[in-house]
Amino acid sequence: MANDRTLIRGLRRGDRSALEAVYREHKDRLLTLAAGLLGDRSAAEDCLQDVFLKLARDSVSLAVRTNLTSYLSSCVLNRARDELRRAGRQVPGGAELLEERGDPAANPGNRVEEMEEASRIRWALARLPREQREAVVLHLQDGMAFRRIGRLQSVSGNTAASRYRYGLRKLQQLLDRREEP
Amino acid sequence: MTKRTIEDVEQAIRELRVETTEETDRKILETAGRELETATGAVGAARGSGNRSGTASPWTRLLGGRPFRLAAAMVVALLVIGGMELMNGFGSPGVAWAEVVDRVAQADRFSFRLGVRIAGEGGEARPEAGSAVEAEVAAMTFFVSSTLGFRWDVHTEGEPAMSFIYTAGAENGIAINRGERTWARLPPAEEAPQGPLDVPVRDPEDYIRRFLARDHADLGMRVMDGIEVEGIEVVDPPTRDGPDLDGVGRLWVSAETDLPVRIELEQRAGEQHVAWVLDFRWGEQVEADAFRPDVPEGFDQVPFEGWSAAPGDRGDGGG
Repeated sequence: MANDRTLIRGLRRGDRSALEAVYREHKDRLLTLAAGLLGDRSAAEDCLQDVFLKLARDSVSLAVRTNLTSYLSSCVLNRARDELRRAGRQVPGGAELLEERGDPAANPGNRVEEMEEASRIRWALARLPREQREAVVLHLQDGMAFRRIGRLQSVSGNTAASRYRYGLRKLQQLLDRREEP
Repeated sequence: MTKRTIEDVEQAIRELRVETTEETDRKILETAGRELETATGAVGAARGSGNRSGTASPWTRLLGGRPFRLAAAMVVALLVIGGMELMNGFGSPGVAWAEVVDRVAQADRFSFRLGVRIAGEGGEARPEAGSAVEAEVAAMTFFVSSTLGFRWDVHTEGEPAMSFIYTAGAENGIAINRGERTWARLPPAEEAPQGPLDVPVRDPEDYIRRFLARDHADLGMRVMDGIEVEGIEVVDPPTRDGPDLDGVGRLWVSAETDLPVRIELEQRAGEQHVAWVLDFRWGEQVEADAFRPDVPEGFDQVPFEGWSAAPGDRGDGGG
């Protein structure tokens, strides 16, 4: 796998193979991130497409030299925020975002259990305030540091960490309540 | 039922994964690939060569065309202000890093703002390197798009007073004089005279290499218009094909994108100190309407009287 700097140079030259390499490297991570933020698979796929269209469109003047991971995550976050604002909608969460890993035919009992668990988690994530959901998703699904999350939310790293903790606590409560007999 | 711990919740979220389908991959790669080709004009690279050899760079294709040659000539005409001798050899993108040369060569959509200052007789101090453009005697903005065309605005008090527009594919352009409320049909760009700007602007890679061949002083890093830039200064920068400019040239390049942000050129001309400042913007989106040859309602058509009188003599009725 070529390093980011080489890939960025390729993009600036209009090299399609560089674009494909970037896409293959980041697509599932970014789709997961978008799904976590938007709670809807179709919207997440649109978000992924928009991010790569923007990457292609801005390739000549790409404002990044060495770290595509961080850059693309920021693009997904911005695009997801735009989408939520534009649609004026709540994050749906739930069954429409069933996971697609693995072979559904293999060990169907476990598979159903996994899907139900994923559905519960997404249902709870969708009920967090946006800032908390962003902090949780960016940190846990994208491995982003609180300092960087803070920068993306225009707050300090400590505030981002607090949002993360509050978010987790609320998720825990939501899941407990849902699972009470 | 056992209650979940915070760690359980963290683990569950970490394990949430969504993967793309082959159909999604195909769709995104196809549309983004097309966009990449449009943005870079890199058909050769798109075929997977990743090599520019044999493919004319967008600059070469675009700047070698009529609109930019015309722009160069018009700038020359405009810069002959107050009988001052025109500097020979205008700045074009260039910097001390080989990567920047390559970046500039690949860019096919850009604009730049040109400001001209004169200091000396009026008592204005010599402008500080990297300072904002003030007390301009002329300010112009050029928009260049390989797909949409070329537009040049001459500003007065911050507003475009005159515009010269060549839509892509059109033979003739139009000039609009908002002050006079007139417009004129411009002749084909190829009929415009060639000026000293022509070669450096048409072939920026070459100009940059020659610029960098000179000994230069590092100006270090600074923030310019919110962009972190690094600069170099060259004494007596090269010109198109005449003697070197008797002055200094400075090049400021974005530390993030490796593209030129500003070029400053200064020259003593008798008792006056003249500074040209070009502020670049790369890859920016420009509305297609900006390149449409639409004449505002109520404007009278006047004959075009020649490039030498066009922008410098603003009473000529639209250039």
